[in-house]
Parts: sequence; C-alpha cells; structure tokens
Amino acid sequence: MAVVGFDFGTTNSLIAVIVADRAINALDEEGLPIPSVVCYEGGKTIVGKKAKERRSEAGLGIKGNVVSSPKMFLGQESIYVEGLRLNPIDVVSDVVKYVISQATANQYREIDTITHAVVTIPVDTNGRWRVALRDAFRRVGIGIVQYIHEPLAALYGFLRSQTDVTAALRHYNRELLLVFDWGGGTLDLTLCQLTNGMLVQIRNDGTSEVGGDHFDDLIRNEIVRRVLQDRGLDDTVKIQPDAWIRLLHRCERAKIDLSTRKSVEIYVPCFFPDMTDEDLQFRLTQEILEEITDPLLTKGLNRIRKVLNETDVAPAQIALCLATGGMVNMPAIKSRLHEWFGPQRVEVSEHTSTLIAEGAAWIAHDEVRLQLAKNVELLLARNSYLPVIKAGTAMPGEGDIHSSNFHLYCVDPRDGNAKFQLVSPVRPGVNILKNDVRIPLENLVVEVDAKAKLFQERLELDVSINDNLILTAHARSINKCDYDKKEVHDLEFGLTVADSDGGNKTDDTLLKISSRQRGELTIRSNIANRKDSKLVPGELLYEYAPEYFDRRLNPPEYQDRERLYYKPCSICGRASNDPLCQCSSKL
Amino acid sequence: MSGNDKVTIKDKKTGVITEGKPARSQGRQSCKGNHSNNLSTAEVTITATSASPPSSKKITSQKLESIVDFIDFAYKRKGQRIDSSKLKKDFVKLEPSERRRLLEFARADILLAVPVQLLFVVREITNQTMKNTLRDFIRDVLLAHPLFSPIELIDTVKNLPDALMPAAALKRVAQPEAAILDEIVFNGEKLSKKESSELCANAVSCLALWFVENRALSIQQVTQDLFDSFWEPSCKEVIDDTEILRCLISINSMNAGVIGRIFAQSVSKKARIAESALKEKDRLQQCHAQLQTENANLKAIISERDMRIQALGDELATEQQRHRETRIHLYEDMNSLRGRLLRRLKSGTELLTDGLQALRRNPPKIAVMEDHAERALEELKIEIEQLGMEQ
Repeated sequence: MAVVGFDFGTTNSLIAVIVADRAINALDEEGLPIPSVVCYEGGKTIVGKKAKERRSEAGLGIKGNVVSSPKMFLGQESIYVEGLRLNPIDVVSDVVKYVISQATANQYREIDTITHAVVTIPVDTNGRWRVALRDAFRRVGIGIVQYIHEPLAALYGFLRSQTDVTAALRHYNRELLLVFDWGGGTLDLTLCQLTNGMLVQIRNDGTSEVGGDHFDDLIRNEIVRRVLQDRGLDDTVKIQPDAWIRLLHRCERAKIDLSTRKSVEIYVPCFFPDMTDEDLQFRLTQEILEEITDPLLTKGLNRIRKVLNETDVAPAQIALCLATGGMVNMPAIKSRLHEWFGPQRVEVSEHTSTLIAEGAAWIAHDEVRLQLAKNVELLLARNSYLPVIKAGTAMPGEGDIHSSNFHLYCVDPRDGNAKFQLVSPVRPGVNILKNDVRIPLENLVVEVDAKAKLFQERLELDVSINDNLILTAHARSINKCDYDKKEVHDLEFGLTVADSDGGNKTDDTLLKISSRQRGELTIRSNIANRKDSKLVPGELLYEYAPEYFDRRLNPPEYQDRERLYYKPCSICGRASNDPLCQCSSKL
Repeated sequence: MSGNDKVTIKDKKTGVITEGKPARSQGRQSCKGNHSNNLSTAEVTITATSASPPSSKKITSQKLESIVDFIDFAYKRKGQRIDSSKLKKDFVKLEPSERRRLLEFARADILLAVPVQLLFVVREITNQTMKNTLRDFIRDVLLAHPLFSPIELIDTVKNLPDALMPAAALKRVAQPEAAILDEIVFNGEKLSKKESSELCANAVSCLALWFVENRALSIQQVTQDLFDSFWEPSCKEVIDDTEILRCLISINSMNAGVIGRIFAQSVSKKARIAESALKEKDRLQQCHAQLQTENANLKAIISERDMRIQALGDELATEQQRHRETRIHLYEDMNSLRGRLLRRLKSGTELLTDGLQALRRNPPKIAVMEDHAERALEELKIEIEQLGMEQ
C-alpha cells in the first residue's frame, strides 16, 4: 500500500511515487499528465484527455457538459452541468478516481493499492477548500497524509533530485529561494529560506488571473480578431463550432514553437464554413506574441516583484529562482527572469509538468512533516507577545489536531472588551525579537465587565490547528460568558529536507525587516498572561493603587506619564493637555 | 522298619563307625480335609504306622522289577544316595493306582529326604520317558507337601507364568511361615526346631534341583541362589572370628572345595565379564566421544551452511528487489521515450496533415506547408539528436 504524491493541478493532475530513489510518474501513453477535465455524457463520466477533446471552448470552468478544473468549484454547494445539478466534491472525486485507476492499472509500475497521498495545493487556497478537497479524496478511499503548497513541493523535489543532495543543501544553506509555478490555471509564488536543512516559507502569493489558459485564450481571440480585421470581416461571421478548440490547440502549439522559432503559421482549415476561403491562416511572430501577451506577462511578473518588495528582498539576494509550469518556457518570461536574477540563478526545470508531483512523492517517501514556519503569537498589553503556537511545530496528520489553551487576565476592562490579536512575525523561526515586525492574523473581541477591578476578569484562549491547516482561535470571557471565534487559513510552513541536520534557526542578519508603515493601525491589547501591575495603564492603576506611584517606590516612568497624561484634571476635569486647563499654574 | 532302628554311619575318611539317631518312621501320612494340592489350610498329620511298604524285601538286595519297586526302594533308602543303574530301561510305566499308593507312601517322608535323591536319579538317567515319569512323581510329592502349599510355590513347582523367581522361591521355602510349620505334625507332634531345619534344608535342596532340572538353571546360578536364599541367611548368628574359624575347620572339605570352586569360577567369570564390560565401556566411551566430536563438527557445518543459506536468501531477496526496481525504472524510461516519440510523431503528423490540406487548396497554401514541414522536420531532428545523446 503506497503513499503517493498527488499533484491535483488546475489544468492537469498527476501521481508520482518513489521507487529506489527515483520518481516514477503515472503519465498517460503520450507521457503527459492527465487533464483535470470531466465530461458527463449520456450517463457516462469521462475524465482526462478524452473529456478535454470534447470541450467546445477553452478555458476553465463549465463549458457545456465539460467541467475543466473542477477544483476551482470546491467550496460551492453545487454546480450545474447542462442542467444537471452536481456536487463539486463528487466531480473532483471523479478526477481523483480516474487518476488513481490509471496509476494502478499499469502492472509495470507495480503500484498495487493507493490508500494515502501527500496532496499539493495552490498557495491561495482557504481552509474550506482544503476541507472539501479532503472530503473528495476520502470518497475515493484515499486519505490525505498532509497538504503541501505547490511551490514548496516543487522546491523540495528539485533539491531531492540533485545528484548530491548534501552538496546542494550546503550550497543553498541560509539562502533565499524563490519558487514559482506558472501553470495553465494559476501562478503560485513562494519565497523560501533554506536554513540548516529546513525549507521555510517566508511569503506566499498566488493568482488565477494569469494562468496559461488565459494566455491561450488571449492569443486565440487576438488572432481571430486580427484575421477578421485583415479579411474585412466582422465578428458576426459564422465560425465552425469545433474550430475554436482546433485554433486553441494550434495556439498552444505555436506558443511552444515560438520559443525556438521567430514565427509560425497558424492554420486552421474549415474555420469559416460560409466563406470562399474557409481556412484561417495567420503568421504569428515572436513580436506579435509578446505584444499580445505582454499585459498578462507583466501582471504575472509584477506578482513576483510584489512578493520581493513586500519582504524587502532584492532580486540579487535570491540564490535560486526555480521556475516550473508550462508558461516558464515562454522566451519573454525566461528573458525577464534572466534579467532580474541572472541566468546562473534561474533554474527552469526540465520536468516542469512533473516536478510538483515528484516533490510530493519525495515528501511522502521521506515522511517529512510540514512544520509551522513562523510563530503564531498573541499580542499582550504593553506590546509584548506570547507565542501560542511556536515555529517548528509539526502540523497534525490526518485526523489529528494540535491545540493549546491559555488562561489570561484583562488588564484594562474600561471599554468593556477584551481584545485579542493574533499576529505572526515576518521573520520565520523561533528566535524573534520583541521589536520584530509582526503581521496581524486575526482579532477576537469578547465582552468583559467594565467595572471590574484590575486582573479580575479572567479570559481563556484556545488555539488549534487541524489537518486541513486551519488555525482556529476561540476566546471566552469567564464572567460575562462571551465568546468569539476566528479562523486563519493562510499560515506559512516549512519542511526539513532529508539528509539534513534539520533545525529551524534562521539567520537574523539575512532578512531585512521593514519597519511598520506610517499610519498603520494596531490594536491596543488589554490582556495579559500574568498579574503584573506594570502592564496596567497608569491612569487606571492610580485609581486602584495610588500608593503605587509613591516616588520612593520608583514607579515606572511610562506609567507615571500615562497617569499624568490621561488622568483628567481633578479641579476642572479637563484632559491634561487641554490648553484651557490652567489649574496647575494656580497651585 | 521301627522307629527305634539306628542307622550305622561310617566315616569314609577316618573309617570310624558310629550309630546315628533312629530313623524316622515314615508311616502313612493322612490329611484331613480335601485332598487338593493346596494344603496350606489343611492340617497334615503323619502317624507312624506299622504300614510297611508293600515290599518286605531287603534294601540292599532288592530286586527291582518296575519303577514302583524303584521308588519304593528309594524311599527305603531314607534319603541315602540311590544308584541310578538300578533303574532299568523298561521301568517307564507308572499306573495311576500305583502312583496314588506311592504318593500316600511318600507322605510319610515328611522331611523330604527322598525327593532330593530321586531328583539326582532323574539327572543321571537318559531315558526321557523315565525322566518324565519320575519327575512327575516328584512334582506330585512336592505339591502334596504342606511346605509347598502356598499358591506361589505351587505355581513355581508347576512353572506357571506367575511363578516366583528361583531365589525368591528358595527363600520362601528356606524361611516358611510359622503357621505352615505349625501345621506339620509328625508322629503326633509338631516339628522340632532341628526337624524344621532339616525339612527346610531338604525342601531347598529339592527346589534347587527342581530348578536345575526344569528351568535349566546353571550350577553357578543355583549356587548363587542357594547362597543368597539359604546359606547366607543361616550364618547370621556367626558374630566373631572364632566362630568363623570354627565353621571353617568343621566344614566338609570336598563340599567347601566344590562350592568354593563354583564361586571362584563364578567370580572369575564375573570378573571376565566385568573386564570385558569395562573394555566395552571404554570402547563405547571412545566411540561416544568420537561421535560427539563428529556431531559437533556436523553441527558447525550445518550452522555455517544455514548462515550461508540465510545470506544467500537475503542476497536473493535484495537482488529480486533490485531487479524489480530496475524493471520499473526501465519501464519508466521506455514509457517516457515512447511517450515523447509518440508526441513528436503525432505533432509532426498533425502539422503535415494540415500542411497537406493547405497544399491541396486551390490555390495551394504553400507557406503553410512550408512552415509546417519545417516545424515537423525540426522536431524530428531534435528528437534524433536527443536519441543520439541518450544512447
């Protein structure tokens, strides 16, 4: 019973398994992955290439009785396919079932029974989607051992496929690595750091707006427009119904051929059935292609730049830019990458269509566990941070939950609310300084008794992460019995590469942490995990313990300032900085 | 013969003539109760009667005309040695009526002095029929005697499956139960101690000879059994060296010599057997040691071979696994190559098909064919180059 790597892609799906330190891919007879396309025809369910051939139009989604990329519908209650109401989970299950059957049907691969899989997912998925995907796999009898982001799987697969893994780890140790998967449906980006054998996600990003299918559609539509223009035809001209698909196919082909040729002839016979010259013929050059695709290319490349900017990382700091997915073979993309990162540091995988599945297979083979890359912290009063889940915590396997419980106090209940803010440092690892930048994850607010004394209101916080990588935080106030719950779906993770010493230390000097931007709001936490008077606002503390501010006891200066600044004038009742308050001069 | 007749005893060595005690009158013995052979419960009385043996001829010059006469003669000898030559060849038949009469007569020999001599005669004669007749008679005499009344002794005399072993039987007879001895009445009186001893001695002698005759017991074995069951128990009263010397001095030299010789032969034989056994033991020990060594060597060889088989098994499993993995990898390579070639060929075919279709248009679209043919050719060239590199 094998644990396989399963790349359930937007455009194509693939299973890979490791046999004697080599990845074996369950490709079809043409050596290609299986299209993630399902066709429901006359009671039959057709999946893969045959379903794709039945498409009348290109693009993702539902076209007639064909569903392309069914995983994008996960999370929805139902979809309609030619009037037939279907559960998206069942449609996804059909694809999974077909891919599994193709993998096990071939006796020479000796994959007997598949019961578990490491499944890759895009970086911009939410927890609900992951829950639905797990359900879809479970319906076919496959348990998901763990989820892995596609770029992380690709990077792991790349490192594991090196001849000398140890040398590769040494070479890239403490370096920043950028991975992006530019496939038919999505562009997924991950900025990672390799530290002492551990791959840590620093920043993820992704979009489904610049996938390869969009390019193909764009090219196709533009060619048709130009041909119509050249021939003086308008868009009401009749076009053969299947001609669109044939043209799309030739555009896909042309896009690939133009990586080595300056121009290609796009020829689609019988395109305009009512015309004398019924064929579509167009000479597509590299320049025209770039002209057509430039907006999308720029949009995609800007996403890469955005990730680097947000993490304040210059392209020169990137030691490796690993590019996978069919789009990376476009000369325009390659040249831009070479321009930014240098040709030595850009690695365009030869196995672009299989690298992600192979990475997942290696992860399954090495039995590495996904770990939390960054602390999940709770902002406490006086801007201190309490780690509620530490970096390096292994993510739970199938059916498991990792949870923690915290007992807290309300330091300042005056506004009637206890405010919890979950944050995550920008810097990965556990060695985080107090003044390191944090990114807020979620806020929770529960009611407390505004009249309560200091530290009287008790609060509870439960934080858990489940096998769908959803972090759930429950906050409760014991006295008021109020309750709040929030979820975080987009955590960042790390992987320990096999043949390494492991560890999750980060080199603090490498990553410049950008300071907080001006005007950015932050919550003023009023909770604490211990009874410490130093945490209480000065003006409030003065009400309960004025003796605390006896000069002889050396009270903290900041609390004394608060007391003076925020406590209203006892004579006129105005705020201390009110210019109308002249009472101090009268004393 | 009256009970007052004395017996003349002449010492052969010294020539001294002495008179012995009067011989017991061996009258008719009467039994009360049933006449079965098991007389353990019946009271046996022997009355000295004047019933003389039928024949009144003189003992020394009696003419023996039948076996009855011979037996009769034997009883008249009262335990003296009997010359077996007097037993003629045609003395074989003993009629039942005569038998009964002789048995009645034999009952008077309560001390069993005569059966011993008769048994010697049985040993000396060669005529088998005569032997059997006499032996049967002696058996009946013994079975009729109260001393042989216990069922075990009856079985022993009859040589039945539950019979006692010779030593045990001799011991039983040598030391009978007091109750049996008390029941034996001789001349209206119970047996004296001396008479009891004499009876036991004769009975032991009879039984010993009986075993020799009927169970082919060897001289050495019967001597040993007599020693174990009769002689050695008798000498418990000897307590010091002086008594031992008295026994040695007064012992009959020939008897002592015979017995001594028998014991010496027995000891010698046993010594030889012991020596032979020791030699055999040494030989077997050597053999055993050799076999143990061989066994250890074989075990070592087997163990080594087992380990070798195990190692080969592991090697085989490893090789099988490696073969399986290699097979999978080769298939993967073949599949990959096949898929790539298929893609190339399909792609080329599509291009050329479109190109051909374009060529067949009126006017022919040569640019399309040119482009498609170039692309198809390029692909094939790339593939050929790649195949060459992979070789």
